[in-house]
Amino acid sequence: MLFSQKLALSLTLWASLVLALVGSHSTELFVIMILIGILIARELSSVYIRPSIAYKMDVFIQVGIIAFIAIVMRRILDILEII
Amino acid sequence: MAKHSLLRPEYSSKIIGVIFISISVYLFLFTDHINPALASAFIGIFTLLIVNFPTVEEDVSIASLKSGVLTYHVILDDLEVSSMGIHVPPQGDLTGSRAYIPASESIEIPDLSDEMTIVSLGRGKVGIAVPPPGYPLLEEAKERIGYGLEDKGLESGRECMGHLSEGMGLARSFSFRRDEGNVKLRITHGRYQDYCESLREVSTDICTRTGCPICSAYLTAASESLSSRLKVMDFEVEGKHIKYDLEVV
Repeated sequence: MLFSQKLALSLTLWASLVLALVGSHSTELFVIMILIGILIARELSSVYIRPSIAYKMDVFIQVGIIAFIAIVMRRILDILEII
Repeated sequence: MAKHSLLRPEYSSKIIGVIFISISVYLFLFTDHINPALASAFIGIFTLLIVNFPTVEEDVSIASLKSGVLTYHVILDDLEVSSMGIHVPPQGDLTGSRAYIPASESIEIPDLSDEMTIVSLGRGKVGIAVPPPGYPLLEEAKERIGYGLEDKGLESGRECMGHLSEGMGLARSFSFRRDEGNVKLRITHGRYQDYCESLREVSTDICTRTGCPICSAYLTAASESLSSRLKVMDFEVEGKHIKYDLEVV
């Protein structure tokens, strides 16, 4: 099995586990848990993956961070009762 | 048995990715299950983008790996040199690693330089010095980890070997340790076991002289990281496990 296949399989299992735990309750929590999974996978696999895969994973992380910032902003606005 | 083309990883990963994305589109459009839809979209896009595949078919790359080492073997066998090779790291005038095969077991090891291939320095310093068959594989691993191995020690050697095993998939696992001044290297084969066995069927001298490209990459990594000349003292195969006992000379 290619390392990239192992990576995809492990993140699929992580996504399934998070989905099983979170269910349909909180989309925000689900997105954050997925982002944490990608960050951990990126850090643990950094030695073993090709630069092209590392770059693609970084794109996922950047999208996840933007989503995370949006979630935090939404929460802040919610707490301040602006929205 | 040849794999059906749809079962090859380059196609199967894309099929799986498209299936997950289709499921996510269905869940987004026709149901209220947002999280399962997000999970499916994530898995689908991740599988499509991340799972890469070898640009050369595995059978072709294995045949390429075989051809180089068999050429070495035929030449070395015909010269009737010793069956035990010595892995020499870059030292002095030698800027790249070499596999040195002395003319006989008791012969002294000369100071090698880049120009020496057929070594004939007299006083017993006779042998063949060739670039290790696994040197390009090791160079690739070093480029990926981002630093050289020369004299960096056992841990750096292990990190590089880890990349050869996990990152490049050359072996399932390895063990590299010092044992009372000598060095023990154990390699557990994975997908390349058949390749290794087919070479051993030709002759086990391949394993003890230079090693096949896979074993040679590990042996050269060991020699470079310890910055020591490592002579193959014993070689053993137990199923998937390859055992090298190396002496620092």
